[in-house]
Amino acid sequence: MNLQIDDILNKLVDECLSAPAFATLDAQQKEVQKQKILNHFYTRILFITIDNLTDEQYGQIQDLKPEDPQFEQKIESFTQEMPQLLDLFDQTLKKDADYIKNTGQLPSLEEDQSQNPL
Amino acid sequence: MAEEGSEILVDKRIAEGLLAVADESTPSISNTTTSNETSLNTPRKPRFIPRLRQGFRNLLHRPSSDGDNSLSGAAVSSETAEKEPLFGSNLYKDAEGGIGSVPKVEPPPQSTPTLNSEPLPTTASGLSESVMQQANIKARQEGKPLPYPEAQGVKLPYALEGKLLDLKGERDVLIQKLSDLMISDAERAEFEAQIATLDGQINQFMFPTPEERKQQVEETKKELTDIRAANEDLEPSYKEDLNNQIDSFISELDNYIKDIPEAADAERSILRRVLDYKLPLVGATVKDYLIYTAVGSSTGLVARTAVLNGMRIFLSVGATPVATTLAGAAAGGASGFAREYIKLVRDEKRQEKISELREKYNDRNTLKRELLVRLKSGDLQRLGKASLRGAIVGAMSGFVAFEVASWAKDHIDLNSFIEGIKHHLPGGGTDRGSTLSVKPEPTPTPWHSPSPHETPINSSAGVHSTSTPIATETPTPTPTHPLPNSSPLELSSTPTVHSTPAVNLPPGHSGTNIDLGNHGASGTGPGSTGLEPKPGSNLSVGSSHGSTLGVSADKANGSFGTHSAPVGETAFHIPDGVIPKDGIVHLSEGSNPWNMASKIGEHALGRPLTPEETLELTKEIARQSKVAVPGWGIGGPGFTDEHSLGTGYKLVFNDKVVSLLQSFKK
Repeated sequence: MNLQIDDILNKLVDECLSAPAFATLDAQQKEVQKQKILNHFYTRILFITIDNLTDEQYGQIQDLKPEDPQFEQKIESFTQEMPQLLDLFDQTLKKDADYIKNTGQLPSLEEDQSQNPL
Repeated sequence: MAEEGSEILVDKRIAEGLLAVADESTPSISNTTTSNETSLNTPRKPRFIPRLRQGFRNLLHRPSSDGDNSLSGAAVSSETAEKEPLFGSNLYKDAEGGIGSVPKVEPPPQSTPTLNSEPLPTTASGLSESVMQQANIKARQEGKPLPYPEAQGVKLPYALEGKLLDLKGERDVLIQKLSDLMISDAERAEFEAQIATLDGQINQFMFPTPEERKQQVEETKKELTDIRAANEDLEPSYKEDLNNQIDSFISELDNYIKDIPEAADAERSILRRVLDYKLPLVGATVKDYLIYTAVGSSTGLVARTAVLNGMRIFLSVGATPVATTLAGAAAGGASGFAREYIKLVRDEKRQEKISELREKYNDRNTLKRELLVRLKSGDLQRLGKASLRGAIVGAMSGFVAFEVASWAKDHIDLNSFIEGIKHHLPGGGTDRGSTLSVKPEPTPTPWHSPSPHETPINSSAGVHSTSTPIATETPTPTPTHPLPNSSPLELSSTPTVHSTPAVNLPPGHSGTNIDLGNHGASGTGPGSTGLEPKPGSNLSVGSSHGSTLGVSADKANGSFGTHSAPVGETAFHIPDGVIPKDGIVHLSEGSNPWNMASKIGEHALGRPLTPEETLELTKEIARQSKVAVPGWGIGGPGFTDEHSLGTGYKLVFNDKVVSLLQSFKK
């Protein structure tokens, strides 16, 4: 059993890639798609986190550069105070995974709900 | 007790080689003896009990406190070290070494190798980077009273850490064996039983009672004494090293039991229950997560700190300023409890917040887009992982807070606590400076239908109806998703707060939560808030999947009448006003039918219902009221799904329900 952070999402990505929509891809193509899906998941996690920040928390990161180590530290610190967040990640990522499996496309992160082809 | 096992030379000159040997030896679950006896010409080496092997391994990583670095980790190969997380190495260590007379022990070296390739979370050094710790540090620097209670912490002695690691190793082996499809059912059952036993033992090490702690120490000291006796004829330099180590171990062990934190029993009880919660997304229990990740030690620390803070908060109500209490609650694991309540009492303001939030999320969209544009893949993943790590810790804290709240329900007067909160919120009554509208009495209890494996909400006799014994613990829960799915946190899944304009999700998505301060864990499970509405109080708030449910149980409005007992029944009398004369209670907006049922039953009986009674009662009311609850096997034509009940839905408290209550009375 391996519960490292990477593996939690990698497992979900592998599940997506095992869907028929990706059956025709060769190993190299799958690796490319894997990174795209993984990035999508992490982006989703980050966006959910941002949406769930309090005004005060948001204020603290608003003006930080994303590359600033403080940004990461604060994000991690804030999420530790959100007991419901993991469940939200769970629900949202699994829905995204279902979408990817069914359509072979990434769900939109933007407002227009257009799909992002992989 | 002592058993002969693999041999380890305790000398840095050959430590690396010995560790390699140790790594090759599978943790034993039998009494198999390995023998590598040395030749007559070789100075006799010390023989160690297998259980202590890891303890000695840890010692090799341990910084020397007296400058004698003969056993330092310098000789440990990084390759070897990476194979084994030094789980527990700071499991019990408070970020600041704890307070009071808890022994302060040197932290392990920063370079402590771990299994996890991830950097430890920012809280790896405990809660030092948390808001709470930062505020405390600042207050200390300014010479002001500490705003937050500080966590106690003790570090597990190295010898006991070794045992814990060995138990983990045994568990690993068994779990590996379980995955073998070729094993027989009997073997599977045997392994599972052994794992259960090991789980109990691991729990004892992770969260020992004072008695267990003493017993562990005594046993280990005896083993150490046996080792000393068995190695009397050692070559002098080896013997000296060995004896020094043993003395050091014994000294640590003595310190370990010298001062046992207060409330250890309750703490242990709470934490052991938490261990069995299943973490969403991770797909593993807290216990497994703690055991199998290097992050475990820090997350365990966070959880433990959270529970300690939470308990102190609850215990200190009335004794210390509530402002301090609330501050602690907001910062510690119990934050959810406090925040959830705050959110609940001002829920009526939520709608007003929505438009404001839409504005806010437009603003946040800008940041999101910036992140997408600016961040490279690696940075994106790094930040995402940070979120995920934090969320895992947060979930654990939530579990703890839930259990603390459940525990507190039976130990303190929560109404006093809540009253205190209302008057001591920052901003003069709000948690964020907004106007807090607090009804005088309402103590809303969010709802969900209890699953067949759960005790319905507000069962004052306990939280869970099914239990899995852990070690010596009496009923312990086997919850799976105590958080939002089954919880008052459904409040935050109300569509009005779900749809985050900033992020349009794919069809089918319910969206992300808008934070209204609802990071609460009080809603993380049945009975989670522990907030018991008083008789006659309004029951409000509580929705699920967009439906709004409510039960107006306001005695003042006269909606409740007196139940007329069936003819011939004299022994059972339901007090006036508990059940309306017509046996019908109309749901009003935001109420929880199952809580309603539970409370009525409680009032009718004049005592708290047991978990079993609560479950039985709510099931019966579901049947009589034609509420479909698939999890209970209740449904059929004409039944309405529990999540689709609208305002005004009739809950039926007919003779069958009364008869059931009567049977409880007997």
